[in-house]
Amino acid sequence: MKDRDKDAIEKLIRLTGPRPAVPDETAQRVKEAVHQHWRESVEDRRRPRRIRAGFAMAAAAAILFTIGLVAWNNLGPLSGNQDPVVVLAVSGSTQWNVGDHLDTGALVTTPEDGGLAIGTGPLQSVRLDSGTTVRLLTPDTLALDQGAVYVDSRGSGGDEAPDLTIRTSLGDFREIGTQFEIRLSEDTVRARVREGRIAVQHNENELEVVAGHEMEINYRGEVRRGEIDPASHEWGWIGELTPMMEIEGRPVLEFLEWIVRERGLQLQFEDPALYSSAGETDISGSIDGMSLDQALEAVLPTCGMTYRIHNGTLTVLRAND
Amino acid sequence: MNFENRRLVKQMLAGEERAFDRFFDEYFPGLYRFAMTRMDGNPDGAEEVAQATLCAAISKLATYRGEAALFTWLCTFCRHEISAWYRRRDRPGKKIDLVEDSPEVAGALDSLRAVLADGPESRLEQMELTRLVHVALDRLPGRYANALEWKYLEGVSVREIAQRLDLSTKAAESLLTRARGAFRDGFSSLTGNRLTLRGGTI
Repeated sequence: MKDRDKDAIEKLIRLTGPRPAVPDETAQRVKEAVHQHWRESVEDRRRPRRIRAGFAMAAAAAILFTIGLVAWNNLGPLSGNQDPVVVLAVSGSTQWNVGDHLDTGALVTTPEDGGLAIGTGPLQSVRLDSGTTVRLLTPDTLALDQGAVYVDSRGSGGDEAPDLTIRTSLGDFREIGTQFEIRLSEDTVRARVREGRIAVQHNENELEVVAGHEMEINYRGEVRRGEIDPASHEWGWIGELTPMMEIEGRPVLEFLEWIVRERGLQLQFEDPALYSSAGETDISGSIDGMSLDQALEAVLPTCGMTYRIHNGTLTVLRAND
Repeated sequence: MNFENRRLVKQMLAGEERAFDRFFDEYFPGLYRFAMTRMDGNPDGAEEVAQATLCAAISKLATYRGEAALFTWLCTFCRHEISAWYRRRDRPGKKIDLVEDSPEVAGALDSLRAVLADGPESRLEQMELTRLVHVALDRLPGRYANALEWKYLEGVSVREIAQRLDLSTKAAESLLTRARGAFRDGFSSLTGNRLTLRGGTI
């Protein structure tokens, strides 16, 4: 660092003085209260997990039951997108590395042989397909100039949580707690919604696309709607850019919910006891560097489980069945 | 990825007392100041909100993935707790546009360009500049912020800083260099890069 930098920082810190101190008695009071809460949470964590009674009783009525596509939304509150935009995963020969920060105004281009996943908030990520160019206009707005992006937002829109908007030459697409893909070609933009819904600003109109549907807008302004398969192979590129879950110490159930959400599948268990077991069994290990399929193959046998995927549903079975 | 933060969280989840002490000592003062700024300087409210924030965050600690810095992650809880605090009192939350919340308003700070050369134009500007410097310090790892304050405000020698941090003198020098770099980047980003410390200009 240059001496002039040092001088400027020294001058600035001297000019503004020390940070206001927290009164000792305040800190002490809060520390005691928070410490007690922390100890209780550590003890809770060490106790065997219990499934909520209401859910378990309802589940017992059926031999086979479906959890459905539950939003994996227990990761804390939305941030209002004030967190730095950071690279979460890369593939191919991209110039970016995991952990790189992107500033507002950044122009991001992916090569023909690889893509990128970026985190735009604690509960929000955007994956860029190969051959994609985006500009980070604001922390809440990405301009898609070419290629395709996939937005995964695990929260619902609210006053304190600005929704992410994908801006294209043919319309703006605003997420409302959802998973969706926007693909821009020369004269068409297509939005496909896997979960939740999105708002589309097209000319003077605000349109909506809901889960399981797509909307295409061409350069003449014509709008076409259709249905989609949330688990089709067309979503395959997303799996290659999945920021992998840290599974160490997490229940198998949470891992499975994450997998089905990434794959656009429904989750189903052979019986209620197996579902309970998945909620009570913690995983030890890591799936870094694995594909989603490899992760399933690696994790489930260690928990005495296996699975099959059929008709858009992942069914969890006992390993000895 | 914030590996250091993730390690601290893992240690806390494992129930390590020293990790809790580090967590509290490093983040509580910054959160308290974060809340105070957004609650009209109400110390009782800030205390209540900071405590609620830490308790809420601890309950969700296992979900921290290190994608954002831990302090940034805690601030998301704090914003919710502040809103809840106002809601409980049937009062609308104060809408405060802070630079660190909305980079777009950073333009208002353009007039501070000459601060270091000529001194603040007004008391208000000085206060805003002071607040931003303190926010930038609060967002640094605790050791970095403390080292910078010890060095520049208390005139503590590098050797003494090394002793306080249980480091070699060389490691302390290196830490100070990293601290200055992190401060410079953090401060510049807070002001939307309108006030940069590169090349000694501001």
